Amino acid sequence: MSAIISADETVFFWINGFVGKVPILDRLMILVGDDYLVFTIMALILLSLWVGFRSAPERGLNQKAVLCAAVGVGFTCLAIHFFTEYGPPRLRPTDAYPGMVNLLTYGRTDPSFPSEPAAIAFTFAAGVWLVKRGRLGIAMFLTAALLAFARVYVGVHYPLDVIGGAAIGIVASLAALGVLRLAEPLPTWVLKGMRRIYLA
Amino acid sequence: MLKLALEYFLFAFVASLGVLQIAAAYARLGGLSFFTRPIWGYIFGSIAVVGAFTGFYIVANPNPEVAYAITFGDLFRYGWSNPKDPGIGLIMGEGECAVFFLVAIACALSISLLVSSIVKRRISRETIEERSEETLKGLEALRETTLFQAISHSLRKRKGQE
Repeated sequence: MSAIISADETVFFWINGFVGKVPILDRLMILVGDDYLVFTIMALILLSLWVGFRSAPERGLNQKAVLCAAVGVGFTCLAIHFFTEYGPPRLRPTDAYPGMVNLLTYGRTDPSFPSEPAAIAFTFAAGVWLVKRGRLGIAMFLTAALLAFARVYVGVHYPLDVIGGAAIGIVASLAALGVLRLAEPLPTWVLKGMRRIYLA
Repeated sequence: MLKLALEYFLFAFVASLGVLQIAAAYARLGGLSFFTRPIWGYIFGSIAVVGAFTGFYIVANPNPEVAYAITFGDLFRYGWSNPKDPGIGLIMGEGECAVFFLVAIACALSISLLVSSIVKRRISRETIEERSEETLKGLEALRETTLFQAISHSLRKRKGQE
């Protein structure tokens, strides 16, 4: 275990060591790695999927993808809460190595493992990809991976934190898909109910 | 004041409004769009989305030097007043963003339906009566009717059945 932690920290310092070398990359990573940008873009994509359809089959597929991602986010939040409450608290890089980390944003105080932003971004991506496949899901995965890299680059997470977050997100989406399939016809009733009030 | 919470809410609200207009133009949902021609929906939506992102990242400061977390519950505890030093940045995190975002979407959807119902109140009632029941269900109903017209049609139909 200590070898894995040591390798994780080595990779972290290698990636974080690029800070200051290319100023425009620093700015880009601050933007991508913040708490709002990727989350908001992905949530807006889900909104556009819900409303933007041209045929009934497309609508059904889109809205099931959104439902899967939304339920997945619920599972992810529960899992993150569980890990941060009961899991071993891993210090943030800036707390574990004061003065040695190039921190590009404000210092966080909650546990480092797992990365909540990475988990949520991967939940969105996996939720859409599992139901809809196609280029949109892949683009969302790439965006989530970029966010995960940016979180390490700006110095708020170790690589294992974002890998753990990504794994939680993907598993949560798989679980959400399984639950939605097991719970049939409940999800269909929910969509039908929403259709009656012109919301789906 | 919980400034960042309000700024994030406005950002999500305007961006959602823009996305709804773009999606309505793409899906030809006239009852959700503010405009009769889809091209205006695309233009308005793009401006709203770009404006929201630009405003949030230029006017607001989402990455302050020092920060503490806001939860949705803080709004009930403190209202919009800042319980901490006003110089300290405020941050929410993804879990809380989801709540603010859902509220913003709900507001954006309500405003879109309300405004388009008012702007397009002149859509012919005969057109609605002629349409099959299947096309008057769900969001598809908003292709050629407004929300208010679709609701009044379904209420009339229910009354007729009684």
